[in-house]
Amino acid sequence: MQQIPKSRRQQGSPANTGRVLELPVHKSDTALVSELLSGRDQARTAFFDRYGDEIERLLYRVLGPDQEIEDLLQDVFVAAFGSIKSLKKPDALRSWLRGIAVRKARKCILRRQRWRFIRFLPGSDLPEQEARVIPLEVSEALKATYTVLGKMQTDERVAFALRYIDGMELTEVAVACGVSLSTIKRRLYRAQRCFRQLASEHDVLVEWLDLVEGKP
Amino acid sequence: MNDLNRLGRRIADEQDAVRARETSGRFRVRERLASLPAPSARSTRYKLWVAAAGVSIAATMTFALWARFIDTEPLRAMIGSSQKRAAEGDWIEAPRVESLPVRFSNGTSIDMAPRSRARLLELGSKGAHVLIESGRVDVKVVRRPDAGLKLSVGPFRIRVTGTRFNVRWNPDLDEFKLELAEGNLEVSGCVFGQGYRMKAGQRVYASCKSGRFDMMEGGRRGGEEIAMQESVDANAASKPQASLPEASRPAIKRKGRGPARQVFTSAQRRALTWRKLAEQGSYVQAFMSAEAAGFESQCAQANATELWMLADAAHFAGAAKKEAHALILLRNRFPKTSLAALAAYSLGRLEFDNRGSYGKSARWFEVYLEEQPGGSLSREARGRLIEAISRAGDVARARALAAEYLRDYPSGPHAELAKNLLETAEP
Repeated sequence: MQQIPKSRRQQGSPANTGRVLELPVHKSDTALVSELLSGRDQARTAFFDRYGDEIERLLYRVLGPDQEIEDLLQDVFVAAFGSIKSLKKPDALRSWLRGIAVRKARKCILRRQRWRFIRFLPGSDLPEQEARVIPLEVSEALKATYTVLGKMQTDERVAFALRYIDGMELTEVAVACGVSLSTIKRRLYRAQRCFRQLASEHDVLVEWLDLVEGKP
Repeated sequence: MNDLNRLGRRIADEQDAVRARETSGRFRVRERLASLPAPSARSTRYKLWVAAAGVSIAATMTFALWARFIDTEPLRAMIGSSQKRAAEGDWIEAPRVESLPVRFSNGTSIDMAPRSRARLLELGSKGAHVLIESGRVDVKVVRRPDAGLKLSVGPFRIRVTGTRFNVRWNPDLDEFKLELAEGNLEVSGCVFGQGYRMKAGQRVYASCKSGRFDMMEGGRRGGEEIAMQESVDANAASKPQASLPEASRPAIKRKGRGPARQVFTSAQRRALTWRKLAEQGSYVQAFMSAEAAGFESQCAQANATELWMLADAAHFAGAAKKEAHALILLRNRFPKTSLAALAAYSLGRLEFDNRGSYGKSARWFEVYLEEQPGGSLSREARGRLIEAISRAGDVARARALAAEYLRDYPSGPHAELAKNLLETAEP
């Protein structure tokens, strides 16, 4: 049940104050979508409260520790507010929003890759993490993982992160990436092989992986 | 769970730990989203659509203003080969021997036959209004929004947009003739009332005083002749007819139910020459051209209008016999038409003026009056009938007719003659 903020509960009844108070947004996604479509300000906040944490986590999984995550998080919800009319199935709100987040993250990675190309620097000389502020307490394994992911194809990187770091089911990964199940399986197979190959150069990752020849 | 899942779980746990300590960023996003105005939540694509719509509306309005500005420019009318510019209210008369073209800036053109008269009543941005006082004009109106043309022809009105036709108006005889070659038009006024729509290939003869008009179908000559020929067969011998050899009738073959296919022979090509001259008012030259091609053969192949034109050409050339031949042929082949009645009147005048055959003349005038009792020439026909019968020696009948004439037309052109007849009869 959606909780009413304490400050609002203290405002009293409409009859006493003479003001019109907005009712709390309903629990189901369908009701939330209808509230968003009606343009209620409270619906936007409720929408973020419901999915903000999940979307931020997804962006973390795909991009790693990154200073742009805050901006990307806002972009995802602004895009969702603007295109909520295109949502045909309100009960698919969650997967629809995750799809937006994946596309935003993918676009961010591609933008950085284009910028890297323009500077005529090989990709291996400019790992993404080097340009970002990484908390000191981040482990070597996490840094090495995203260094490897930064050298992979974007689509394979995204699929890998969703499947193995976020722990999504195959069908959820396929929906989030907007491709078929068989496509995501092939993509993940290629991603595994690529990740293992690149991870073999990092001792910290070798400890975690069964890098046996011929075993994917 | 394989090694990749284990590594991923390890990475995820570490990320979640970091996220748990750094919640300020998420709260900032929440505050910014809460403060967003509703319209700003719309997508960039929507804004682009709005911008594109705005640009297109602005372009449309600009074009409309431009078009309106262009439309406000009135038409220009150029007269003759010298391209002299005419103004509203100008009166125009074509020379006696050649036609006079009038060209409008919107593409419309009016070719005035010799001695035709017209007046430019209006030159607006949407078209022109021209009054045809007398004569014959060939009109070609281009199909454009600003190419409307209003023609006032005596008591008749013609409204056209995109068509080609010729119209002739004789105010003395109260004769209105219109032949529509292309497109559609609407003729109104007098016998046509509020409006009568004509289509390509139709021709109309109208008289306001007699209150009647004849509409003839068939833009194709062959089809018209067949229809007329069948009419001749059905109504043969109903009126006095001059002897005419059967062989002189046009031999028209047709296949099926459609009109006969028009195949021009060398004689027909020559016919086009004399017709063009006649349409230009050069009747003597037209007659000479028809004679060169064989007047009788041209008559045999001519339709009603062409026979009337051949008779006119012969009349102005002073060839009374040829004129009579054309008129008799016209009556035999196209009976019960207004042209046939007019031919009877002309034959009466011809017998009276050229041959002095007053008895025959009287008979032709009587035929005209029988066929068109309220026709445009009925007053003249009754007057000339009195004159012919009087000269033929039947004074008693002439006096009776004179009394009737004075009763109906006390100030008519033959009123003096009628009075004289009645006065001489009194003791």
